[in-house]
Amino acid sequence: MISSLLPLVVVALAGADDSTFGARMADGAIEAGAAHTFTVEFAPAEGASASDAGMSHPFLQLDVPAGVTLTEEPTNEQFISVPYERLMQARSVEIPFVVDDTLAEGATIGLVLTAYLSGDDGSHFLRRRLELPVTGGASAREGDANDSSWGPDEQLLNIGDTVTGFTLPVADGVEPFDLGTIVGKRPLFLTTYRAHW
Amino acid sequence: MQLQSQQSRFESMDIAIVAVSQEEVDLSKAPEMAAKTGAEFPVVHDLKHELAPQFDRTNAYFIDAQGVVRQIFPMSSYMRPSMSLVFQEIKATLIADEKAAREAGEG
Repeated sequence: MISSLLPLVVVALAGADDSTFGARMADGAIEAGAAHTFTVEFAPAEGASASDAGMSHPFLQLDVPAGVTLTEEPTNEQFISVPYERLMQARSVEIPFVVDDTLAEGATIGLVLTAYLSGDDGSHFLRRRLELPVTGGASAREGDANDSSWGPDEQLLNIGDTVTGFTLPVADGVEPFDLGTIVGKRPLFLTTYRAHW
Repeated sequence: MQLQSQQSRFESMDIAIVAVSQEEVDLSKAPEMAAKTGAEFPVVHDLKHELAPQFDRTNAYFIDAQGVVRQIFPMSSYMRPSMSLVFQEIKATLIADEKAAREAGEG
């Protein structure tokens, strides 16, 4: 599987990182009601490791167009909603799907990979999107990761959005915190996840 | 705890840190809780989930001095990165910005 896929993987990830991310639709005409598959592969650069950076595995989100239904059986992975979100636990995964008559011509499946990698040349945070045409034998082309939502809701902030200030309480008897004292004046790291502080 | 270990590195680049808690909390006990974590940065409480439509609680955000979101880091427990790595990514962005500004100035 890997040897047949790799020559078609055209997206080398940024900078000096030789990691590759690619996808390919199985050969054969796409027909409504029939079972089909596509293969996704992520190969970290030699010497690069996801686990050393604190993350168990790269994370894959699938942005599926109307007319396509993924048919993979859910697993028990906590926090992952298979088939639309999954950890890349193997270098190459085959994902089954079916289509119906509502599939538009030229439709693509978006594949968004997020990974933290560490290696000899330092660490990298990767987020890349591929567009895989729903056409037999098609290879994926690079897409724009910023077209992908960062969570379940479209209102969520995305890269390039401007943040407005907010005021929230700190504690009883303490002046509320006004983010406007920072936003637009200094760089800010804002975390909403308790386990990190 | 990891974030506190990187706090001085953030400060060295004049990057403010704000932690938003979206958990239920008794505000009269908030100082006690903050003392327990040892956090030296503001910990604010989004009790009414006012920020929830914009900020996903499993992500962290790097916002530049112009108020623009430049990087988003997934922080959920199955893909938690080291804070050292997150800091390196932010630092690289700021250095690239400085270089671009310098080149624009020279041009």
